[in-house]
Amino acid sequence: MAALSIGKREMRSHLFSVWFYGIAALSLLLGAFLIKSYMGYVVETGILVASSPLYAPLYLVAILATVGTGLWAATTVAAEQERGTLAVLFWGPVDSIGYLAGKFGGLLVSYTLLVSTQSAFLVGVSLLTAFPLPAGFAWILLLLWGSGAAAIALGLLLSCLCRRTRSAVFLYLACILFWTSLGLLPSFLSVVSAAASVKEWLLAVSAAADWLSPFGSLGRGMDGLVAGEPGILAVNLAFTILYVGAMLTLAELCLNRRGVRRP
Amino acid sequence: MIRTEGLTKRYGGRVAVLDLDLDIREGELFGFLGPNGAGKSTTMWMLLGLVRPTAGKIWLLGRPITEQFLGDRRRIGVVGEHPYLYGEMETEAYLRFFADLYRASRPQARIDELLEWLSLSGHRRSRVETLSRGMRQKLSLCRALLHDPDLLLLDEPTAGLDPTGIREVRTLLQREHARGKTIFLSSHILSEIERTADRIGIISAGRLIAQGTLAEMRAVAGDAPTLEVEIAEPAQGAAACVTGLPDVLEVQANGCRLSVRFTDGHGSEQDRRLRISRALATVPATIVGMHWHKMSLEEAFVTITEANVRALAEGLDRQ
Repeated sequence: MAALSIGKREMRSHLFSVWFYGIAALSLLLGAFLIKSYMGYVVETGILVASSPLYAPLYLVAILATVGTGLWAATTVAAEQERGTLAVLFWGPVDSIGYLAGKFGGLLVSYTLLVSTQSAFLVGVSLLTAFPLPAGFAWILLLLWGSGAAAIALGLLLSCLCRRTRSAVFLYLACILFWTSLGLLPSFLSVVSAAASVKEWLLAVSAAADWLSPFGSLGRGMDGLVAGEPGILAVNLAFTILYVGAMLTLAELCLNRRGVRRP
Repeated sequence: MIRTEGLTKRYGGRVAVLDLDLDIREGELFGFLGPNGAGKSTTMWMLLGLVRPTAGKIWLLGRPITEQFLGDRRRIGVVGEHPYLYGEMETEAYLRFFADLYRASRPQARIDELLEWLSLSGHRRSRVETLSRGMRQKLSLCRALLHDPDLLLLDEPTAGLDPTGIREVRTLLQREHARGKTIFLSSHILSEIERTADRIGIISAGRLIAQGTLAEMRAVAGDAPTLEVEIAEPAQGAAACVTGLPDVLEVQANGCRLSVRFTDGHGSEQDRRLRISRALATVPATIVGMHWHKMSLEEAFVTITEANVRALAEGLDRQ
């Protein structure tokens, strides 16, 4: 019950924030820009170079929404602790499980609304331009949703780890930067000269670290989708659920250990 | 309603609360006093189960705090040392959120009632961050009372309030007290505690150094009954004739005023006044006024805490 009240407040707070609309506008603008460039190329050459021209825009807008919502999650607990409002909640019928469940649920609903808006935009574009939607569109959306849930859970964990909002934001951005760098590592290693064993070792570390990334399941699931292997997709969806559970459990432990008093 | 036994909290080597034994009965208004840093807030946090004691036990609402359910928290209302509000919310929306959280019955009627009592009705659509400090304090009191709790834990509820606000809060607390609510009131405004509290506890350097009614506090502070006598004109021998009377400890003469301190004996106030009147009539001196002076809570508090600080310092010196 307390989780529901906290979830509703968190959702409203996110939905009525400039941040929510900023992320929505930016992602749609970038998506529209990509689509426009595809259309321009078709008009200019009469050739459609990509088999699924809406795949990249979908990926881009969803990743922006995911990173943005995760960042919001990273600020939410630390900000409440900084302001002292966290303690006020815990004076009442709220415990750490209910509190985190509420925060997670509220943000997941607002994230779903954000991704739904973006998906509706892409469906509209598809209808207007006759560009086909990516194959397995529904599965991609499911993977994106899982990745959003994972990013929110990670954000909440980092927010519970840090006593200050600023520290939580820096830590979250550092994590995102780290995983983005790891994603670029294979391309980087292919152009630099290094011992094969070092390259292999770095790639192994990168692959292992990818399992800790909230976006890891999305990439691996999409690979499975492209390869036509539903098993990989299912494993990654199941892993996302485990990932979210693990992050929220750790967040709960952190919150209990650290306490709710204002720093 | 609240009971603690040997409650202790240490932060590393620093003692915040030591061996605290409290027993606050149902329906009682208990004033909890202490200088800054005495351990009042730490005690409150331990009572709320949000700071784990180093040692000791707590019973709240008749149950050990370790066995408390979240539902029990709905029977408690809390005002902290700072309001801690959601500044971006509107006053009424803020209260609705907490009414929802606590599952308050008839939430809208209760919100209207509390806003009216605390003169905040005109600010129900105002953003909380635009309210003055006193208004925010009153809003946090509204939040604590929303769900009609059986137990109120209040830490400086009148901080930042103007005299009218203090009076409104006092009236509200007296109303809740009259309705049988148990109130644990921590405050620096001793006159407020003096007016409202049934019993008082004084904490200093983490130790509960006195606990009891106001009369018991005066006794602990060594307050001797003093009769202030005003005579029409200075009279030779007035002080001397009173000094020899039974029970009289000390007499101070200052012009037309005599301060007669009695021992803490068994004589009634009326008997003592009568004896003084008769003695002064022999001088002769004409009495134009008489009144008993009693130690205020502030005087008792200062005496008790200063004595405790001295005792602690002497103890440290001996070590």
